Amino acid sequence: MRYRPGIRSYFIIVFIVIFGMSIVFINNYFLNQQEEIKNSYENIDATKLINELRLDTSQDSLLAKELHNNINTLKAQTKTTLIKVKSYSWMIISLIAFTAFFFFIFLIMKFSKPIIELQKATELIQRGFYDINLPEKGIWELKELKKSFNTMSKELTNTQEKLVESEKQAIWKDLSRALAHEIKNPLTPIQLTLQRLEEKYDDKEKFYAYFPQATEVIHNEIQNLLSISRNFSTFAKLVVPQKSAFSPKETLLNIIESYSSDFQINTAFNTDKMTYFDQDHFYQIITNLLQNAIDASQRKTPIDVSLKEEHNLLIVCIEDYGIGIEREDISRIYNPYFTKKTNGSGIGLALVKKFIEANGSTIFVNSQVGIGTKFRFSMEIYNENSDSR
Amino acid sequence: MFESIGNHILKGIITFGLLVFSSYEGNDASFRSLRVNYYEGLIGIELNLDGAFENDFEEIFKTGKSIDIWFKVDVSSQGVVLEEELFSHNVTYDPLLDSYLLKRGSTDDSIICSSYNNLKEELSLIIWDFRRLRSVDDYDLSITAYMEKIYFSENGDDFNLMLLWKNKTPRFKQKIRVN
Repeated sequence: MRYRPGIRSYFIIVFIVIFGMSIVFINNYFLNQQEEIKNSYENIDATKLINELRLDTSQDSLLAKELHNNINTLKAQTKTTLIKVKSYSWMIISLIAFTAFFFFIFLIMKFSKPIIELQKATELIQRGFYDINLPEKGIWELKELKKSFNTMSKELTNTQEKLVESEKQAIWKDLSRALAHEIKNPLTPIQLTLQRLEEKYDDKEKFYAYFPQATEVIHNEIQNLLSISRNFSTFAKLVVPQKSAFSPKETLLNIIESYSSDFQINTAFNTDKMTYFDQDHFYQIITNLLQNAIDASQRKTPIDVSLKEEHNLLIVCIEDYGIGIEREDISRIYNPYFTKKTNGSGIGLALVKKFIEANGSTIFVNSQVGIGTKFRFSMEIYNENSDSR
Repeated sequence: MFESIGNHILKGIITFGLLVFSSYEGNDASFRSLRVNYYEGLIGIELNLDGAFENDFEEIFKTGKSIDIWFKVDVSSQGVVLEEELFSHNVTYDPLLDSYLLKRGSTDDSIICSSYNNLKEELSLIIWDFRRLRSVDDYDLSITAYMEKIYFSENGDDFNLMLLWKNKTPRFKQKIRVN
């Protein structure tokens, strides 16, 4: 990870500069003091004067000796004091240095810890975790800042909850409208067929001639209703994947084969590795994505299907060069019953997403209007540990 | 035991600090020029304590106080101490004669040195004759020198003379062969 200088680094740099200057200043002060002692010491020279004294008696000699010794002792004491100062001044400087350093560390922790807490909390909010409560302690200004942050976090949580609720309501509204529309579509032909049968009831010949056609229409529309009901039920219930090992390459080839006579589907498979995925889900995902690609493309336009290994995963891509998806619709394509197709139920991509997520993966889409759309998802590679998980 | 370890650690920190951080020049005392003499089966050594008395000692000696420089000589063979001797070189300054009286415990003699340079020369010379080392063998010779505190009764302060050697004890270790 690349190192970025943070608030602590700047504090440390400022501290080192100020601290270094202070130490140089203190050291110079000590050196000046030592120099002064040295100069005073060097000026003491009584030996010559004592030697010039007239020592008439032995008592004079003894006194002179004592005086001499005293002066020399004084000089030696000055000298030893100077030596002590020179020897131990570093201790005082070191003591100041250590005290200053630990005090600085204490201060930096006191200041920077809440800032780092706030920075981490902001990152959490950025990732969507709004319900954060920082401990409101420390220096007054930072305590106030944390208090404001906590208030903001609570407001964000409330707003988010309201947003989720309104999104849910919107989805249910769309879902109900789409579902009502879907149910209404088969009911209309059933109603019309029944009306015709009633009209023809008096004319037995026409009635019997029309009856098989009418029952077929009613039967087909009932099948449509059942299909709608089944799709809705599949979407609504919890999906539990039944993972197994299979070759995605073979499954893809089998699916593509059934389309290949009518559509131009290019394949690029760079791996033969097995995957560990729900095979039924895989089948439905691919058929849905492929059908969407076909629906979005002109008949002669090719569709690319690829399978490759990347970062220890198998990546499946289905790319068409069709009409593309409008930018504002991209975020809604996985919503159930959202469709722009005339004959679509709008449940396909919602199911695709649900199946992929149920298998522990994610689907990605890139699309540009008039250029095409690319769906991409990853799958786990099968290995001996896959079954035990 | 812990007190002794603590003292050693503290002494180590002070010595290291003095060497690295202190502005005090001091003296770098070290033993040099070992000469081993043989005389009628007895062994004697001669060596010099160089660089020990260059700075600041003259002023200390001139206080007229009796100052001892102690020497500890150990001779061992295969980890067994055979001889252990402790002696001192004692210096006393006479201000009226402006001379130094040196009493050498090593040679058991006294010398009057008229100048400081003369004193340094004589004080640094260590001569020691072993009394019992006669056998033909290899010996491990170890010599250390140290000084004690002096006390200034005038101001009630004492001064550790080892500071003049930057708290560093001069040591000398060498194998000597007797044959």
